[in-house]
Amino acid sequence: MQTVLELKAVTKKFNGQTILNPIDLTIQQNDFIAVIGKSGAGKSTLLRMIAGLSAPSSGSIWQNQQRVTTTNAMTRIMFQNPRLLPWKTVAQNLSIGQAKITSEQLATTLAQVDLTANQHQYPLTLSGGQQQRVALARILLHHPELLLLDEPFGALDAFTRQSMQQLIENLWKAQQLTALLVTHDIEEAVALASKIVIVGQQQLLQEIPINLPRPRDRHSPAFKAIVQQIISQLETSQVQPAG
Amino acid sequence: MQKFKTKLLNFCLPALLPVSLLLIWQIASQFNLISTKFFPAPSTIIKTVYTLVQGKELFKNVTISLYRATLGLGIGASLGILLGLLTGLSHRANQLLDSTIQMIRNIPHLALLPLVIAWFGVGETSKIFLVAVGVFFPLYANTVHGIQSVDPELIEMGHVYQLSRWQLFTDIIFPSALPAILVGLRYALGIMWTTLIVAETIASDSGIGYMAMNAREFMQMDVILVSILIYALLGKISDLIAKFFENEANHWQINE
Repeated sequence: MQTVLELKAVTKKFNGQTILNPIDLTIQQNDFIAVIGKSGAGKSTLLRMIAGLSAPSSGSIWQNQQRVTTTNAMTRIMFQNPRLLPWKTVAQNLSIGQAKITSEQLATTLAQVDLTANQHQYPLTLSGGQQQRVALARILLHHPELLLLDEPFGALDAFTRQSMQQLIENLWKAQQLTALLVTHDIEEAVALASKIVIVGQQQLLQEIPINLPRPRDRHSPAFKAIVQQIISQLETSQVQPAG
Repeated sequence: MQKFKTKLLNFCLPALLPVSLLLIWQIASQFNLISTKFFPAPSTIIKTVYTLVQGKELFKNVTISLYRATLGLGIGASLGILLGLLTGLSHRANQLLDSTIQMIRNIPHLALLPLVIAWFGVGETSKIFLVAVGVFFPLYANTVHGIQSVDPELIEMGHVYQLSRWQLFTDIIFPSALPAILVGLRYALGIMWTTLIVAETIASDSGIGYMAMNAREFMQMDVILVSILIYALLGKISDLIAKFFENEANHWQINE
């Protein structure tokens, strides 16, 4: 199993406050890591450091044995805000960047996210779910190796959220991506992840592998048990860190 | 039928007051209820317009006013937008230039008229210069504001997608700032006309303002009123043109 990402004793301080104490984490190829924890725990901070958008206060992050210092072409991020350019059509938004995108690539990707009919529309005429699908299509066109997701479905309604989760899982499987998802939705984490990482009290509290078969059945007793286990772990972590 | 009645009403009601006033004015003039020396009848004004259009006077004066306005706008707006882009995009440039420009902005530019005449005389330069100064500041201020209001999340996205500095500007920063710049332009147009009117009235031997002042010498009230109407018409047309460009640029926004 090839190691895609390695965090070595990564910390983050801001204005004298410690946000994260030394964290070690290894992510293998085709992993789907879900990072969960209470709001303000530092999950997004961690994601932004992995993305190269901010620098660790100490420690280092390695992607494919190369040190992460800034954003790179192999990593793509999906935020809660789809961050589309409102003055460009869907197709034009997908074409931004240095790489030349052929019309075939464009057509294929549009079909993957089911937006072929909307390619000449402007973002403001699209629903929230559609806008996120455009953002996803934009990411896929650049064939990233590492896909980072920062609570991307938080602003969507429950139905759209589930279909988006399904879409992500399908693409992750089909394209053998490596994914890291930050979320506060525990069900979402258990439904998608191969490993759940709990962040709290300025540190990495636990790593929980999820071995449920895919496609994951949210109503199965095993699924619900794991969700409960994590919830109680989050609650007890209020008192003291585990391990 | 109901829809037609509503449309008719929507069209007629706003026009009711001005049309009634015009009618009262015309009738009052015809029956000498008001002095035609100070208030020429609407019919007289229409005749005057006809006469002026026939002679070369009106065409010559309107053309020269338009020339001054356009040139002044071109120079002032270009400089305003360019400097606005510079100080908006570069922190160093902002530190060097912005406070100075803001200080000068606080001087009412029309107060500079005597100074401008002393420097440039009563030729074309003084009028174009004054219009340019007046137009510069709203465009500068709105451009800076537009640049500084660009969504930083979009810029971050641009960095992630490795957009070059030029692409960042043309794809993200400038389109984002454009609506604000166009608002500045519409505002500047009003200033352009008022500045021109003052400059042409006080220090000129041609143009619409000169035509009005000259008419005053001969108590030609009708010509004065026609001049005012022409200024109003030009102002309205320029505003419509600006609004057209604004709508074109904002076509991606939802208008519901």
